[in-house]
Amino acid sequence: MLDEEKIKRYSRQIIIPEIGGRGQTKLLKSKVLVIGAGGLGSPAIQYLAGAGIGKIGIADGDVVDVTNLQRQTIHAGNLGMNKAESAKKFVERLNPDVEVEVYNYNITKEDILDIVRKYDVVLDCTDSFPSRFLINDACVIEKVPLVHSAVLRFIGELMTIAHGSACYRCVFPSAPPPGSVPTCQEAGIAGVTTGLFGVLQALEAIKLILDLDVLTNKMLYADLVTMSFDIIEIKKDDNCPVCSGKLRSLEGVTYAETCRIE
Amino acid sequence: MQKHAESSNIESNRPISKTNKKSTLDLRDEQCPFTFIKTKLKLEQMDENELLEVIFSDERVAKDVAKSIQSEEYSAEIVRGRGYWKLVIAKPD
Repeated sequence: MLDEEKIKRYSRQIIIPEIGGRGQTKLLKSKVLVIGAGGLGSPAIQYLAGAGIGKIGIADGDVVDVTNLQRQTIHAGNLGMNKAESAKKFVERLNPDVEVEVYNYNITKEDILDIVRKYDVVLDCTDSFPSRFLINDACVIEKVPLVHSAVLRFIGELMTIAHGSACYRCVFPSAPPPGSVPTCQEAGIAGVTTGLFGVLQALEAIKLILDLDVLTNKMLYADLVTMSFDIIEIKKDDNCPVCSGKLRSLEGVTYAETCRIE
Repeated sequence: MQKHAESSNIESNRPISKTNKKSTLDLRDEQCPFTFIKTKLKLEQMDENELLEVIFSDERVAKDVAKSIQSEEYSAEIVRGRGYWKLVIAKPD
């Protein structure tokens, strides 16, 4: 039951037929884990908190650096602070309805399964292939819906992995050889690209909680210079080493170099 | 001369039954958009076929809420009372 203050705070979204009081109550009871509180994670956290997600887990082992602030605006004034702690401070200022759990370290294959299973949705807001494979594999094993995004310069991609859909490994079975794809540090990243795609990740999380249609078995690929937004159909790979159900534990997988599962 | 209890059936494809269980909500002190939001929240809590009577201080608000409720497929009827306007809403099956 929503009290007067919550009715006021969420009034603009309760009005929407797809949300209503029931949807708002679902959001307030939901738990979303954001792995990475950087370029993608910062805008995602901002809108998840605004929407009234009941609990947001925030995982990041890095500290706020001045080069981050061009896109990671929630960390304003927190130079040198751990990013997960800094993001928590932002959420607390924005919305006291949201509980935040901080993981102020880099999640590894040793603890990821225990962490992701506590959440209803996971957002992969990391920036490296080993983390993307690790998060994909863990979410598929634990059957926790995952929203993936990756960005570079003015380009971004987005896909949702849920309800037995194609997973990240169906698209990319292994990582490209180290050094063949430039990182954001090397190639650059426009703040607006991370802002847009991080918000799209939050949107997918909200839609998953509300049981609305999400971007499964599809990938959005956008070039923001030409403003071309393409939806690419993705087929589930019956022989996928992960979502075919073959992978039960992360023990034998090496999350480095190509991350290939033999 | 105008009749005192004037009624206009906003959504006429489904007649509003007079025998259903009825709840009342007095929103004479509420402002837009809370007039609609509180009506909507109350409707969400009600069972199918239940009736809701919502009291507003003026006709414009009653009409606005009726319009919004109609777009969500409820049947609504506006009834004029002494110094207030009443919207009778039926929750569809």
